[in-house]
Amino acid sequence: MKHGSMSSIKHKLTLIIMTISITTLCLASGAIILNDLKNFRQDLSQDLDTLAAIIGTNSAAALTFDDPRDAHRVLTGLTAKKHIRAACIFRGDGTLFARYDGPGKGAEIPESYLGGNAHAITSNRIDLFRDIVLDGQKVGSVFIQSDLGEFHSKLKQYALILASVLSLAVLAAFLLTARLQKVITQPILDLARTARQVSEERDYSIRTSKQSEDEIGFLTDSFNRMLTQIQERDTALQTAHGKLGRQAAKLRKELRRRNRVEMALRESENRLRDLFDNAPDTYIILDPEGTIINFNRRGSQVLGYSFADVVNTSIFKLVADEDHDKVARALLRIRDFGEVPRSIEVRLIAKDRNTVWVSKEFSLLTNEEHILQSVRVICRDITDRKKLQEALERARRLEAAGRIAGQIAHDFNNLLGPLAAYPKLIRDDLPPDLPVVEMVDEMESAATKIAEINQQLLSLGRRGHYQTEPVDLNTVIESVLVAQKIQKKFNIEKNLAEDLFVIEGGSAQLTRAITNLVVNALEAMGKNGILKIATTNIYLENPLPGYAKVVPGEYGRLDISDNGCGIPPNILDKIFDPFFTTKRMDRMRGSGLGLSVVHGVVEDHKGYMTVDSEPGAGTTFSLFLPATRDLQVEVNDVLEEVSGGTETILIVDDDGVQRRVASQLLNRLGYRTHCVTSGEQAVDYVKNHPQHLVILDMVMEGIDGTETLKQIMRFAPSQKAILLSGFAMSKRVEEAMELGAGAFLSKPVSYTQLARVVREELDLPAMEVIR
Amino acid sequence: MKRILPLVLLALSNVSFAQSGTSVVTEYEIKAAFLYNFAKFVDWPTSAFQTDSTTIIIGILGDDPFGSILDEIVADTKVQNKRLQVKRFKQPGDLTFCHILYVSKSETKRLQWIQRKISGASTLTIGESSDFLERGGMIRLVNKRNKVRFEINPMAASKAGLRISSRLLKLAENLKNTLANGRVPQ
Repeated sequence: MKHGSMSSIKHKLTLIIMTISITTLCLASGAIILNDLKNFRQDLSQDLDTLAAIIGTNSAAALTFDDPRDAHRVLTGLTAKKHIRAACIFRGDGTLFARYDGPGKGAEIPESYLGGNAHAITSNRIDLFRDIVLDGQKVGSVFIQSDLGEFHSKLKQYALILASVLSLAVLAAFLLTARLQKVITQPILDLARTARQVSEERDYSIRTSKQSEDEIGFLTDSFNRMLTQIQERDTALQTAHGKLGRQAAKLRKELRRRNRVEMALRESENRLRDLFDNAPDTYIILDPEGTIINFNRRGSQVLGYSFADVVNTSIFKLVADEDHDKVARALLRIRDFGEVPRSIEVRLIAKDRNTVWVSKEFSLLTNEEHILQSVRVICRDITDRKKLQEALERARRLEAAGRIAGQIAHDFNNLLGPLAAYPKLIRDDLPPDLPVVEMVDEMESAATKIAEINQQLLSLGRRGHYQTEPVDLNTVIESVLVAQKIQKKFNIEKNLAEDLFVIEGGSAQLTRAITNLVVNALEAMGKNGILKIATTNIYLENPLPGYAKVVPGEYGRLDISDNGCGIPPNILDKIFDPFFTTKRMDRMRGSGLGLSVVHGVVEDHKGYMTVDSEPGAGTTFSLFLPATRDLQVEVNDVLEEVSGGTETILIVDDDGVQRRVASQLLNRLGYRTHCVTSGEQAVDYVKNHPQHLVILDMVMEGIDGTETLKQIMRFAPSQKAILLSGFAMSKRVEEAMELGAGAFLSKPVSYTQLARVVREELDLPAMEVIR
Repeated sequence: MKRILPLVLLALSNVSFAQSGTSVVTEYEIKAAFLYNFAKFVDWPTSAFQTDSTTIIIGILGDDPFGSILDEIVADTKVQNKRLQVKRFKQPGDLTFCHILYVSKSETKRLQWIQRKISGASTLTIGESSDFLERGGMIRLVNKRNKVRFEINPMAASKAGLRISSRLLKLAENLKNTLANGRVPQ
């Protein structure tokens, strides 16, 4: 209900009233005018008739006495009547007697007329004929022609009058309507305005005033009554709304509280789940029947099964066949006696069929009625322990065997003297063609073999009891190859490092070990094999396969590879055992002591040994022997090539040897050095003692090299730095380089290289360093 | 009357009697029609119809110039709803009352006597002599431009109690101009 449509009611009303007024007026005046015109025409006809009668009467005598002049005079009297175009008088015999032509032209006068009253009206004239009667006798006729000019001018006049009357009437009607329509529209407009106000302001207390006792008054009353009702309801609604609002607020508060509780619960659950998932051990929850109902993430990582793989399957799917009984017994005890068994050590089979040793701790979860709900099994991965155990056992085994063998060999050695020496003497005394000579030869051969085996046994038994000296592995290798006279018979690829670190050890022992490996390789390959021998320098930081840990440091590495038949995985862990051999026990084959001797020698040198074998593709034995660096010799070389300086240098390394070696070298070059063992210490030190250069080991306990540099650069943004690492370029190294580290050297570091890089970095303009 | 009717109508036509060659309408035929027609424009007092209210008497005194024409004209016709009757008188002594009296040329010398004879009676006197009006006559027939015209002495008629229609008066040759100038004769 907008104002526009209300005013349109006003307009409509005005329009209606105006239409009615105009229509009525038009009809009325039309009727009057039509009637008037009709009358006018009748009057005109009658006037003409009368005129004709007068003329007739006045000209009757003229006719009777044949006096046309008089008749003409009579007709001339018509001059006063402007509308008479023409008139004439005919004699009784129809001939023209007298004629009159009025003003204007176009009068058509008949030539003759025989009588009879008639008149003809056309659009612009009236023709009238009238007989002239004298004393009951027709004596002639009068003809009068009148134009309708008067009629037309009257029409025009009427039109003008009608138009002006209509205009005035319309104006009057409009003005009247404008005032009078308010009687009807004003109450409606008031009502509408009130309704609009109510709907816009939502104020139901507004009332519209009653202005009349008609239908609109009734409407106003009804509207006001309706407003009253609405107001009452509105009030009720507001009250209810208020109540609801308060309740909603209460509910919202409650909802928030519950949300908080729920969130706390969820957090708690997440924390627990997190703990559960990230626990260092595998957690398995079983129902009393042994079906898995839950399984943590650690379990997935250890065993390779996803949660979905194992949930709702039996625990026995995971347990190695050998240990089924153990687990079954434990579950039985839990189920039938409610006892918690002591931890048991069982093997689990991972998805990739690897065996994982675990110790299982059981705990029971019961409900309020103390009825068993589920069994929690914590499986601690003890594979490493088991392996260490095995390694230890093997070492003990080897050591014991070696000791026994050594003692026996010692005794044998004394007893073997005659057996080795006498066959030669006996043969010398015998004629050569006697059959017994062959036997003596065989005895001599066997004695030689025994002596050989005895030597091996002696090596085992004499472990740790020999003098050490600096040994060049390359030299040892060359001598072995010469001694075995194999270089012409086999394809050998040598790749020996020229600057190989010197090893501190027993050359005889090393010669024997290398000989054993070379002989083994050749035997594994046959004639067409390729023997590869390589030596390199290496810095070890991480454990090697088969070792729990290694001593970090510099090592000389020796790899001997064949492309022979390889070693089956199932015997890989037995190959170092004494007397274990794959070679059949005939007189030409091994004693089962070769690799045991190698193993013993490596251990005696505090070195490490790994085997990498692929059945059908070949085997590589790698020996890692700790290097001993002859500083004097090297530094002298360095000093010849590289210039030093007097700048301050901080050496950060958790390896004592590295720190010592580097600081000694740099001191000899004239630098002032300081050593710290961790990144944190380095940051503290540089804060108080600004350094020209920092040499950072990348891998350290605590913060690594990159983080150390980052922290140092917070207060010393133009700090120069050099990175060292046992690993090749890594993402962390790249980050450090981007921060501004000048160079990256991979361990083991050549001193010449180190000295040169240090000088180059110090010589760079500081601005270049700031990125 | 049937033979006469064309004559009556002819009298109303524009044809002058003297020149007419083909249809011979004589002067007295026209004048007879005049006598007849005058009756239509004259009102007699009621006393004139006391003896016979249904008849208008036309008297001819002296020689009758009309012959039978006048009788033919008036036969079977009515004027002012009255029949017409023609009476002929040889001399003034024979005179009896008539509504219209034609005084023939032969009686011109005895006009005085005639006047005396009819004085007091409402008789319309019609003559042709040049001094007919001066000697008390009422209507004088004249020939003018080959046409029969008349002059009227309204005073004489009025004295006799006759009322002559103005329509007739304005046709009178001696009154035309006066009436045309708007003056009413009387």
